[in-house]
Amino acid sequence: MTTRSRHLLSWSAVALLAVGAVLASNVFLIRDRLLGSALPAAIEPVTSRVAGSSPQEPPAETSLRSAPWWQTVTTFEGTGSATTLDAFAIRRDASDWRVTWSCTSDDLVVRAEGRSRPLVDADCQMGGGNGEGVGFDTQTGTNSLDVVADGPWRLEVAQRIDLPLVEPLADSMVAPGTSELASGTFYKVDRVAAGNITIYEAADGYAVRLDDFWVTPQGSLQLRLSAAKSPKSSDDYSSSRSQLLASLDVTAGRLNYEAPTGVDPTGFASVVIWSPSDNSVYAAADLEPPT
Amino acid sequence: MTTTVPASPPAMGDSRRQVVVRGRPIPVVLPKLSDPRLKLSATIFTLTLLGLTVLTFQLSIPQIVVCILLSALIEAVVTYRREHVLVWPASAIQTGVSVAFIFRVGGTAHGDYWSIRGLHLFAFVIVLSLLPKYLVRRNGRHIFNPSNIGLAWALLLIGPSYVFSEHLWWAPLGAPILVSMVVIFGGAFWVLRQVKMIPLAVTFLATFLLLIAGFAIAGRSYVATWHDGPVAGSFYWLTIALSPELLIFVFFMITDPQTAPKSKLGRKIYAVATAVVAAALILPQPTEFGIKVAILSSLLLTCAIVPAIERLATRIEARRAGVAVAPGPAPQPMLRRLAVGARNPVLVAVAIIAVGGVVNTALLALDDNIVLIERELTERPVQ
Repeated sequence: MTTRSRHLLSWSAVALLAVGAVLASNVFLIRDRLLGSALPAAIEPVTSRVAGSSPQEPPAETSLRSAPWWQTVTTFEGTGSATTLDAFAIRRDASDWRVTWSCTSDDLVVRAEGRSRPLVDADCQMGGGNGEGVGFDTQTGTNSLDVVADGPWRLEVAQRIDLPLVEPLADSMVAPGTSELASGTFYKVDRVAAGNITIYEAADGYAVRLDDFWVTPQGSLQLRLSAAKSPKSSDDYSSSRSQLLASLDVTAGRLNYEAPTGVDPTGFASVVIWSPSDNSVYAAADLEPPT
Repeated sequence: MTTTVPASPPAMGDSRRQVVVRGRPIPVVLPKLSDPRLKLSATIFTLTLLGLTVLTFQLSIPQIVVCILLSALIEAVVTYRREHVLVWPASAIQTGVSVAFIFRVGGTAHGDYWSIRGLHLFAFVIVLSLLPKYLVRRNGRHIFNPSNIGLAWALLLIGPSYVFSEHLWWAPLGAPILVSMVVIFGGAFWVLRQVKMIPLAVTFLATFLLLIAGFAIAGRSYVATWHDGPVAGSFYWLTIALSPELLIFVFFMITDPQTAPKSKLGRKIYAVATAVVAAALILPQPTEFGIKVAILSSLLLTCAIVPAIERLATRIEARRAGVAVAPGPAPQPMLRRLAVGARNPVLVAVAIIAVGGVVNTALLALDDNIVLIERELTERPVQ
């Protein structure tokens, strides 16, 4: 090898080293874009269960994701006739969207613009004159619907997204007379969870607030009150009294839920995140009275 | 974690052996049992076995085998091409054992002994460890500890989405941890006494333990997959300062006689400097991943400045002894020296490896995604 070619080779190696150093810095997510990442790109969470609301202060972007959940986009109601409804926007990052329909007489046909197959083609008389069902579509962006019906109908459009939901405190949680009943911090049991739970006692029942919350995504998780103190396993939970507090449709963010009527959280020692589909306690939090 | 000793005949054992290939005799050099590299490999390998059996190392046998065989093969081939001698690749085997001991590929389950997950990544670390050993040299000696440079740069290059190094916290105090500690300290004494590196290790630990205690008192914390909530207070100190991994770094990595300064004072300065750089890099890190890379990266910087440390030590010793240091040629202006250095590919490579390693490690502290990974808030488990 000549001195010149050796020199060239040396500087090529140095150049390669410099490229490696830039790659390793991950500036502008260069490494993550090239090699992939365990986390998706940071994105702004949504702030309501209904699309289109704009908060005063947008929440910070996050790489966390929720289990897919349905966010309401819009609702239409009408009676009979053929109608082209107002256009609505489905997020580009939505996996799909649905129309939940109900009608009471004769037929209902709902067609998304530009599609040959109808989303809904239903006989409203089925079910004793209270027909209802769901139609699905996957085309994101601007969509509109054509409705042909003989009687009253209602359509609710929702998009399936996996973004965290960052809700402000519910009105009932800040209303005069509402008090904090108990709170706790989630810890791992069979899966991972993080964040805090607060149970409020309001005039018309109990409300649940989850803050900085994340649990291993799963579609059918439940928040359940448990008599077990500091449950460490699914057996600890199963051997104690429990009661449903809320069904977790969203698994990341700051979330509000209302406890079902008749549920009294007093007398329970903890809250567990229970997965009925695999009989597993994902996480738990001991309930402590406010200090 | 590669303690390399010069390949002098006394250390290498009987060099009169030979094999004949196609009628051509090739000398074979085997190591002596007293070779510290064999002792070190034995110590690390024992710890690896403990990790596979009674601790919870997420490591498989194929991953270990790839590291050892590939490093041995590379070293044997390179040495044969250079010297036309078959030398037992003791240093490279030690590098392989060390990489297998510390490097982890996400998703490898403990107890899945035959997993072939991420074998290419282990091979990548080995190549990354050994290439600088042959290509980035000063006065005929390699500059960086091979497994240290390979591990630090592999973790930075591949990133926390796929790889990590063995956890700082191996297990609660119990028989497995006690046995591991006995092996670490026993192995350290066994190896370091022979290579006269005990003062260096003690100096590093004394400085480092004090600095980390200060951070713990100041309220620093980090998140790790094995702990619910932040690791803070005395547990912060305990898990960093007395982690088995740090002890391995101290006893078997910074104490590499090939890359450490030669003088006693130089070694003390080097130990203190490494401890200070490690602590400074650890300070802003909010994650265990960042802390472990910080420990490894600190050595990149101090290995790069060993000549400067040696010169400083010589000057201090001369001043102490009241001897005037022989004046060398008049020092050139800094800019001129930088311009001359920038024309030397080895010096530029050393600068990129050392400074790039340290800067990129500092940048880990700003990466919020690593916090999410350490908190396991990802759909795909990483560690």
